[in-house]
Amino acid sequence: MFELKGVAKVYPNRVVALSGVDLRIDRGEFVFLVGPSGAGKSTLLKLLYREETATRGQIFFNGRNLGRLHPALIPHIRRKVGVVFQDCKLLPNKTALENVAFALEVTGASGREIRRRAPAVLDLVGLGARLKAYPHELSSGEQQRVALARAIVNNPAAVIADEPTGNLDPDTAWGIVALLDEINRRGRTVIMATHAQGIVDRLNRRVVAMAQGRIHRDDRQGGYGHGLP
Amino acid sequence: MAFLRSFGRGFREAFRGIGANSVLSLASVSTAALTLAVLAGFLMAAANVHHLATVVEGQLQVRVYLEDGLPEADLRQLEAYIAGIPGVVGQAYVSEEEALERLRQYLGDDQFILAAVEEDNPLPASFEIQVLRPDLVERVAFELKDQLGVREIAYSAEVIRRLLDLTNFFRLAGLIVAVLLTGVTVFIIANTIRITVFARRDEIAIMKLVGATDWYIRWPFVLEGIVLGAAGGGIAALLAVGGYRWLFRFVVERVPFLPLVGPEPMLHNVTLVLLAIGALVGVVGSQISVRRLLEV
Repeated sequence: MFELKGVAKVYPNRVVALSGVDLRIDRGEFVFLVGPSGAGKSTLLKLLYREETATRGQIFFNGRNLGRLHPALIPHIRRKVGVVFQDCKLLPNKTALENVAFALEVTGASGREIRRRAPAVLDLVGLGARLKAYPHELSSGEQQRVALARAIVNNPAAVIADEPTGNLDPDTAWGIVALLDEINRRGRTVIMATHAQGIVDRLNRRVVAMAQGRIHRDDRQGGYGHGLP
Repeated sequence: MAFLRSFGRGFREAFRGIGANSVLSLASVSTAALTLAVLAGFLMAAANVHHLATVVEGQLQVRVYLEDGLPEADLRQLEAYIAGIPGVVGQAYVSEEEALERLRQYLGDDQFILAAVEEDNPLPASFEIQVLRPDLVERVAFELKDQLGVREIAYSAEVIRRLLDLTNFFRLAGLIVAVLLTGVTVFIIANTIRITVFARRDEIAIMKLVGATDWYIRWPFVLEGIVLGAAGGGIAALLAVGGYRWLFRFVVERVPFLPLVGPEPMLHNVTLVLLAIGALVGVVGSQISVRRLLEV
């Protein structure tokens, strides 16, 4: 599904975020991306949903070279890749339902489709009873569930999560990861950057460890690893 | 269907932007209105001068003013000469007394002006010569220039040329003023919309993240620009229509011989032009504001 070949990313301020990254992620995989802050995890994820382009090397999504993608096609890639952030990025003046519906609206979905799918997805993440709550009325964990619902409402092939549990207590964090696991079991690729050692160790999935912009270790089934700071 | 839905959404968002930003929106609309009203003034002035030129051109007349006390024989000779010039289709002799009588009718109520001239009539006798085509006017005038008894020749070609020069002046001046003022309007509309864009930057970032197309994001801002610009154009059109109707009535009542362009269809066209330019200015202004935000 995703394939990176010799990818390097140098930001305009000459900070080298990634160098010599080769990585292949297949359909249906669950991949943890671990490593210290500044290791290049976020940059790698941004390349996958085409927020950034590689300075060198090539990135393919379903066989399509993202570096040569016509700008008009970027929105269509984004609809196939749902993204979740640590800070949720919900719109504060919209309810949970409206936040999710918003992602459907921009794709030109019909009112009927929005009324059917948005509540169903919120129900799936366990917020069926809180449709009309505004973000400030929701707990951090609930907000992240809304963000997750928004990421999957367009039925993407992959979900990318950049430290989605960074702000959450361990129990709440586990709830989010359990949801991502469930999303993965329904056939979607999940790529999650995290510092949460306990979660990585417990789920026992593929772990890609990064340090200083390079891939340091890639275990089919692994733990957080003790060699990392 | 999807297109219509985003069209409706665009309108809602556009008016939301204008409402949330009402002071600046008002400033934008007023600037656009003022600018376009000035432009309308130049357009209508040019139209009138051009109209005047056509009216004068239609008269196809050469007037030969004669020296005072010209003997009858010389008069007859000149008359025969004029009749022989190619392109001349008719001529009439206007005596000094007739010239005064015409002036009397022309001035109508303003008899006091006449008091000054009636004592000692300064008006010369003249021949009024009708010419076949406009391009022959100048040649007829040339043929008569050095004839015996001719004091001065007045012909419409000269007047037409001056009027056309004046038309061009109004058009050019109008164009320069329009370009400058339009620039100012574009700038102000662009800044107004930039504030809306800034207020919604989070929403825009999320739109992009979840796969909104460029046009989906742009459309409400473009509409906002069109609404602001066209509203300015509409107000300018109201000013132009009202102002010109008033001016037209004023002139017709007081200076009836001055040939003004009738209010219709000119004002109809001016209204359309103002609305179109207003909308265009809005589109350009909004594009300037949203261009940067779409570079991801």
